Amino acid sequence: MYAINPQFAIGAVLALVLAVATVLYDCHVAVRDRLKRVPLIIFKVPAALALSVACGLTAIIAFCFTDGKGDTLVDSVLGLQQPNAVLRGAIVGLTVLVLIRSKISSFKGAEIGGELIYNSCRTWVMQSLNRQWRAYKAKFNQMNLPSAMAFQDYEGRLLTELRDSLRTQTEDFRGFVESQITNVQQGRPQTAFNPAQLDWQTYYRTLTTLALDYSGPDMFEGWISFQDPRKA
Amino acid sequence: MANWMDVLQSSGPIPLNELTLRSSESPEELVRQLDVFKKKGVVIVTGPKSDDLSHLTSEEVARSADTVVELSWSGLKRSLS
Repeated sequence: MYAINPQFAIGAVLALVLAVATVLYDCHVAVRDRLKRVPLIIFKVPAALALSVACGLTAIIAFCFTDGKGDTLVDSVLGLQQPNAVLRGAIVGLTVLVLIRSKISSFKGAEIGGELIYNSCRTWVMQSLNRQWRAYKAKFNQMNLPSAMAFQDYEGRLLTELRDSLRTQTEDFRGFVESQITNVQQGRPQTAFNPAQLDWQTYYRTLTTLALDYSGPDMFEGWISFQDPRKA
Repeated sequence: MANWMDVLQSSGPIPLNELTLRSSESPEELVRQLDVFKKKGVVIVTGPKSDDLSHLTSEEVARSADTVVELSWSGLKRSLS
Protein backbone atom coordinates (compact mmCIF):
# COMPACT_ATOMS: atom_id res chain seq x y z
CA MET A 1 0.00 0.00 0.00
CA TYR A 2 1.16 3.55 -0.71
CA ALA A 3 1.23 6.39 1.75
CA ILE A 4 -1.08 9.23 0.67
CA ASN A 5 0.81 11.76 -1.43
CA PRO A 6 -0.39 14.17 -4.13
CA GLN A 7 0.54 11.87 -7.02
CA PHE A 8 -1.17 8.94 -5.36
CA ALA A 9 -4.30 11.03 -4.72
CA ILE A 10 -4.41 12.18 -8.35
CA GLY A 11 -3.91 8.59 -9.49
CA ALA A 12 -6.80 7.44 -7.31
CA VAL A 13 -9.10 10.18 -8.62
CA LEU A 14 -8.13 9.34 -12.20
CA ALA A 15 -8.81 5.65 -11.55
CA LEU A 16 -12.28 6.55 -10.25
CA VAL A 17 -13.20 9.00 -13.02
CA LEU A 18 -11.91 6.87 -15.89
CA ALA A 19 -13.50 3.72 -14.49
CA VAL A 20 -16.86 5.52 -14.22
CA ALA A 21 -16.52 6.76 -17.82
CA THR A 22 -15.47 3.32 -19.09
CA VAL A 23 -18.40 1.56 -17.44
CA LEU A 24 -20.92 4.15 -18.67
CA TYR A 25 -19.55 3.73 -22.18
CA ASP A 26 -19.73 -0.06 -21.89
CA CYS A 27 -23.39 0.17 -20.79
CA HIS A 28 -24.10 2.60 -23.62
CA VAL A 29 -22.58 0.24 -26.20
CA ALA A 30 -24.45 -2.72 -24.73
CA VAL A 31 -27.83 -1.06 -25.11
CA ARG A 32 -27.17 0.96 -28.28
CA ASP A 33 -27.77 -1.94 -30.65
CA ARG A 34 -31.02 -2.85 -28.95
CA LEU A 35 -32.67 0.46 -28.23
CA LYS A 36 -31.51 2.49 -31.19
CA ARG A 37 -32.91 5.90 -30.41
CA VAL A 38 -33.41 6.11 -26.68
CA PRO A 39 -33.14 9.82 -25.92
CA LEU A 40 -31.98 9.35 -22.34
CA ILE A 41 -28.25 9.44 -22.37
CA ILE A 42 -27.07 6.46 -20.40
CA PHE A 43 -25.46 8.39 -17.56
CA LYS A 44 -28.80 9.93 -16.61
CA VAL A 45 -30.10 6.52 -15.55
CA PRO A 46 -29.55 6.19 -11.76
CA ALA A 47 -28.86 2.46 -12.10
CA ALA A 48 -26.03 3.17 -14.57
CA LEU A 49 -24.60 5.81 -12.27
CA ALA A 50 -24.71 3.42 -9.31
CA LEU A 51 -22.99 0.65 -11.30
CA SER A 52 -20.31 2.98 -12.66
CA VAL A 53 -19.57 4.46 -9.24
CA ALA A 54 -19.32 0.95 -7.73
CA CYS A 55 -16.83 0.02 -10.47
CA GLY A 56 -15.01 3.31 -9.86
CA LEU A 57 -14.59 2.42 -6.19
CA THR A 58 -13.37 -1.03 -7.25
CA ALA A 59 -10.79 0.73 -9.42
CA ILE A 60 -9.60 2.82 -6.46
CA ILE A 61 -9.24 -0.29 -4.30
CA ALA A 62 -7.38 -2.06 -7.12
CA PHE A 63 -5.16 1.01 -7.56
CA CYS A 64 -4.25 0.84 -3.86
CA PHE A 65 -3.00 -2.69 -4.47
CA THR A 66 -0.54 -1.72 -7.21
CA ASP A 67 3.08 -1.01 -6.37
CA GLY A 68 4.61 0.25 -9.60
CA LYS A 69 7.01 -2.68 -9.83
CA GLY A 70 4.59 -5.22 -11.22
CA ASP A 71 4.81 -7.46 -8.16
CA THR A 72 1.20 -7.47 -6.95
CA LEU A 73 -1.67 -9.62 -8.19
CA VAL A 74 -3.47 -6.56 -9.62
CA ASP A 75 -0.27 -5.48 -11.43
CA SER A 76 0.13 -8.92 -12.94
CA VAL A 77 -3.50 -9.12 -14.12
CA LEU A 78 -3.28 -5.71 -15.80
CA GLY A 79 0.31 -6.22 -16.98
CA LEU A 80 1.34 -3.06 -15.12
CA GLN A 81 4.89 -2.01 -14.44
CA GLN A 82 4.30 1.68 -14.17
CA PRO A 83 6.17 3.58 -11.44
CA ASN A 84 4.27 6.83 -12.08
CA ALA A 85 1.21 6.78 -9.78
CA VAL A 86 -0.79 9.19 -11.98
CA LEU A 87 -0.33 7.06 -15.10
CA ARG A 88 -0.94 3.92 -13.09
CA GLY A 89 -4.23 5.36 -11.81
CA ALA A 90 -5.30 6.20 -15.35
CA ILE A 91 -4.46 2.70 -16.60
CA VAL A 92 -6.30 1.02 -13.70
CA GLY A 93 -9.35 3.21 -14.37
CA LEU A 94 -9.41 2.47 -18.10
CA THR A 95 -8.91 -1.26 -17.59
CA VAL A 96 -11.22 -1.77 -14.63
CA LEU A 97 -13.46 -4.04 -16.71
CA VAL A 98 -10.49 -6.27 -17.53
CA LEU A 99 -9.91 -6.56 -13.81
CA ILE A 100 -13.54 -7.28 -12.98
CA ARG A 101 -13.68 -9.91 -15.71
CA SER A 102 -10.23 -11.31 -14.98
CA LYS A 103 -9.20 -14.70 -13.63
CA ILE A 104 -9.38 -13.19 -10.16
CA SER A 105 -13.15 -13.28 -10.42
CA SER A 106 -13.73 -16.08 -12.95
CA PHE A 107 -13.00 -19.77 -12.89
CA LYS A 108 -12.17 -21.76 -16.03
CA GLY A 109 -14.16 -19.34 -18.20
CA ALA A 110 -17.31 -19.79 -16.12
CA GLU A 111 -19.24 -16.63 -15.42
CA ILE A 112 -18.85 -16.36 -11.67
CA GLY A 113 -17.81 -13.68 -9.20
CA GLY A 114 -17.11 -10.27 -10.70
CA GLU A 115 -18.21 -11.21 -14.22
CA LEU A 116 -21.56 -12.52 -12.98
CA ILE A 117 -22.14 -9.50 -10.76
CA TYR A 118 -21.14 -7.05 -13.49
CA ASN A 119 -23.33 -8.67 -16.16
CA SER A 120 -26.27 -8.86 -13.76
CA CYS A 121 -25.85 -5.18 -12.90
CA ARG A 122 -25.69 -4.27 -16.58
CA THR A 123 -28.96 -6.13 -17.11
CA TRP A 124 -30.42 -4.15 -14.20
CA VAL A 125 -29.30 -0.94 -15.95
CA MET A 126 -31.05 -2.16 -19.11
CA GLN A 127 -34.27 -2.89 -17.20
CA SER A 128 -34.17 0.55 -15.66
CA LEU A 129 -33.61 2.16 -19.05
CA ASN A 130 -36.43 0.08 -20.56
CA ARG A 131 -38.87 1.29 -17.90
CA GLN A 132 -37.93 4.93 -18.42
CA TRP A 133 -38.15 4.59 -22.19
CA ARG A 134 -41.60 3.04 -21.99
CA ALA A 135 -42.80 5.75 -19.59
CA TYR A 136 -41.41 8.38 -21.99
CA LYS A 137 -43.23 6.91 -25.00
CA ALA A 138 -46.49 6.58 -23.05
CA LYS A 139 -46.21 10.22 -21.96
CA PHE A 140 -45.35 11.33 -25.50
CA ASN A 141 -48.43 9.57 -26.88
CA GLN A 142 -50.63 10.91 -24.11
CA MET A 143 -49.51 14.47 -24.83
CA ASN A 144 -49.53 14.28 -28.61
CA LEU A 145 -52.14 11.78 -29.73
CA PRO A 146 -54.86 14.46 -30.02
CA SER A 147 -52.51 16.54 -32.22
CA ALA A 148 -51.65 13.47 -34.31
CA MET A 149 -55.32 12.68 -34.84
CA ALA A 150 -55.94 16.26 -35.95
CA PHE A 151 -52.87 16.36 -38.23
CA GLN A 152 -53.56 16.24 -41.96
CA ASP A 153 -51.89 13.19 -43.54
CA TYR A 154 -50.13 12.31 -40.27
CA GLU A 155 -49.32 8.81 -41.48
CA GLY A 156 -47.76 9.98 -44.76
CA ARG A 157 -45.60 12.68 -43.22
CA LEU A 158 -44.53 10.52 -40.28
CA LEU A 159 -43.43 7.64 -42.49
CA THR A 160 -41.64 9.94 -44.95
CA GLU A 161 -39.66 11.56 -42.14
CA LEU A 162 -38.97 8.20 -40.50
CA ARG A 163 -37.60 6.76 -43.74
CA ASP A 164 -35.51 9.90 -44.35
CA SER A 165 -33.99 9.67 -40.90
CA LEU A 166 -33.00 6.04 -41.48
CA ARG A 167 -31.03 6.69 -44.67
CA THR A 168 -27.70 6.48 -42.86
CA GLN A 169 -28.60 3.16 -41.20
CA THR A 170 -27.62 -0.25 -42.57
CA GLU A 171 -29.79 -1.92 -45.20
CA ASP A 172 -30.65 -4.72 -42.76
CA PHE A 173 -31.91 -2.25 -40.21
CA ARG A 174 -33.91 -0.27 -42.76
CA GLY A 175 -35.43 -3.53 -44.00
CA PHE A 176 -36.34 -4.50 -40.44
CA VAL A 177 -38.12 -1.17 -39.83
CA GLU A 178 -39.75 -1.29 -43.28
CA SER A 179 -41.18 -4.74 -42.55
CA GLN A 180 -42.71 -3.37 -39.35
CA ILE A 181 -44.23 -0.45 -41.26
CA THR A 182 -45.74 -2.93 -43.71
CA ASN A 183 -47.12 -5.04 -40.86
CA VAL A 184 -48.65 -2.01 -39.15
CA GLN A 185 -50.19 -0.75 -42.38
CA GLN A 186 -51.74 -4.16 -42.99
CA GLY A 187 -53.57 -3.64 -39.71
CA ARG A 188 -54.88 -0.23 -40.75
CA PRO A 189 -58.56 0.11 -39.72
CA GLN A 190 -60.90 -0.58 -42.61
CA THR A 191 -63.47 1.94 -41.42
CA ALA A 192 -63.53 5.63 -42.41
CA PHE A 193 -61.13 7.74 -40.37
CA ASN A 194 -62.65 8.65 -37.02
CA PRO A 195 -60.42 10.18 -34.30
CA ALA A 196 -62.84 9.05 -31.60
CA GLN A 197 -62.58 5.41 -32.63
CA LEU A 198 -60.26 3.19 -30.53
CA ASP A 199 -58.95 1.32 -33.60
CA TRP A 200 -57.71 4.53 -35.18
CA GLN A 201 -56.18 5.73 -31.94
CA THR A 202 -54.31 2.43 -31.55
CA TYR A 203 -53.14 2.66 -35.16
CA TYR A 204 -51.80 6.20 -34.73
CA ARG A 205 -50.25 5.35 -31.36
CA THR A 206 -48.46 2.35 -32.88
CA LEU A 207 -47.10 4.44 -35.76
CA THR A 208 -45.87 7.11 -33.34
CA THR A 209 -44.19 4.57 -31.06
CA LEU A 210 -42.55 2.91 -34.05
CA ALA A 211 -41.13 6.27 -35.17
CA LEU A 212 -39.91 7.03 -31.64
CA ASP A 213 -38.22 3.61 -31.37
CA TYR A 214 -36.22 3.94 -34.56
CA SER A 215 -35.88 7.64 -35.18
CA GLY A 216 -36.12 9.15 -31.71
CA PRO A 217 -38.05 12.14 -30.39
CA ASP A 218 -35.87 14.59 -32.35
CA MET A 219 -37.82 13.63 -35.45
CA PHE A 220 -40.81 15.53 -34.08
CA GLU A 221 -38.88 18.72 -33.36
CA GLY A 222 -40.24 20.65 -36.31
CA TRP A 223 -43.81 19.59 -35.61
CA ILE A 224 -45.24 22.75 -34.08
CA SER A 225 -48.29 21.21 -32.41
CA PHE A 226 -46.25 18.42 -30.80
CA GLN A 227 -44.75 18.61 -27.31
CA ASP A 228 -41.70 16.85 -25.96
CA PRO A 229 -42.20 15.39 -22.44
CA ARG A 230 -38.57 16.25 -21.68
CA LYS A 231 -39.34 19.94 -22.14
CA ALA A 232 -42.87 20.03 -20.73
CA MET B 1 -39.77 -10.10 -41.64
CA ALA B 2 -40.10 -8.50 -38.26
CA ASN B 3 -40.11 -11.34 -35.77
CA TRP B 4 -41.89 -10.45 -32.50
CA MET B 5 -38.74 -11.13 -30.49
CA ASP B 6 -36.72 -8.69 -32.64
CA VAL B 7 -39.45 -6.10 -32.24
CA LEU B 8 -39.52 -6.65 -28.49
CA GLN B 9 -35.74 -6.38 -28.22
CA SER B 10 -35.63 -3.13 -30.14
CA SER B 11 -38.64 -1.48 -28.54
CA GLY B 12 -38.40 -2.43 -24.89
CA PRO B 13 -41.64 -3.16 -23.02
CA ILE B 14 -44.60 -2.83 -25.39
CA PRO B 15 -48.40 -3.25 -25.19
CA LEU B 16 -49.57 -6.57 -26.64
CA ASN B 17 -51.80 -4.96 -29.29
CA GLU B 18 -48.89 -2.83 -30.60
CA LEU B 19 -46.57 -5.84 -30.64
CA THR B 20 -49.16 -7.72 -32.72
CA LEU B 21 -49.46 -4.86 -35.19
CA ARG B 22 -45.68 -4.55 -35.61
CA SER B 23 -44.68 -8.21 -35.82
CA SER B 24 -45.13 -10.59 -38.72
CA GLU B 25 -46.89 -13.35 -36.75
CA SER B 26 -50.67 -13.62 -36.65
CA PRO B 27 -52.25 -12.66 -33.29
CA GLU B 28 -53.05 -16.31 -32.52
CA GLU B 29 -49.51 -17.48 -33.32
CA LEU B 30 -47.99 -14.58 -31.39
CA VAL B 31 -49.89 -15.30 -28.17
CA ARG B 32 -49.14 -19.03 -28.52
CA GLN B 33 -45.41 -18.31 -28.78
CA LEU B 34 -45.56 -15.71 -26.03
CA ASP B 35 -47.17 -18.27 -23.74
CA VAL B 36 -44.36 -20.75 -24.42
CA PHE B 37 -41.63 -18.15 -23.81
CA LYS B 38 -43.42 -16.88 -20.73
CA LYS B 39 -43.36 -20.39 -19.26
CA LYS B 40 -39.64 -20.62 -20.08
CA GLY B 41 -39.08 -17.35 -18.20
CA VAL B 42 -37.79 -15.45 -21.23
CA VAL B 43 -40.60 -12.88 -21.35
CA ILE B 44 -42.80 -11.26 -18.75
CA VAL B 45 -46.41 -10.47 -19.55
CA THR B 46 -48.30 -8.20 -17.16
CA GLY B 47 -51.86 -6.97 -17.19
CA PRO B 48 -55.40 -8.33 -16.91
CA LYS B 49 -55.03 -10.85 -19.74
CA SER B 50 -51.55 -12.10 -18.88
CA ASP B 51 -52.66 -15.37 -17.26
CA ASP B 52 -54.76 -16.60 -20.15
CA LEU B 53 -52.68 -15.68 -23.17
CA SER B 54 -53.14 -18.76 -25.32
CA HIS B 55 -56.94 -18.48 -25.16
CA LEU B 56 -57.11 -14.90 -26.39
CA THR B 57 -58.95 -14.32 -29.65
CA SER B 58 -57.53 -11.94 -32.26
CA GLU B 59 -60.20 -9.37 -31.29
CA GLU B 60 -59.17 -9.59 -27.64
CA VAL B 61 -55.51 -9.20 -28.61
CA ALA B 62 -56.40 -6.09 -30.65
CA ARG B 63 -57.95 -4.59 -27.49
CA SER B 64 -55.10 -5.51 -25.15
CA ALA B 65 -53.43 -2.13 -24.72
CA ASP B 66 -53.20 -2.74 -20.96
CA THR B 67 -51.30 -6.01 -21.35
CA VAL B 68 -47.58 -5.31 -21.52
CA VAL B 69 -44.88 -7.64 -22.85
CA GLU B 70 -41.21 -7.28 -21.92
CA LEU B 71 -38.08 -9.37 -21.80
CA SER B 72 -37.41 -10.95 -18.41
CA TRP B 73 -34.14 -10.68 -16.52
CA SER B 74 -32.85 -13.86 -18.16
CA GLY B 75 -34.18 -12.82 -21.57
CA LEU B 76 -32.42 -9.49 -21.31
CA LYS B 77 -29.22 -11.14 -20.14
CA ARG B 78 -29.32 -13.49 -23.09
CA SER B 79 -29.88 -10.63 -25.51
CA LEU B 80 -27.05 -8.58 -24.01
CA SER B 81 -24.47 -11.38 -23.92
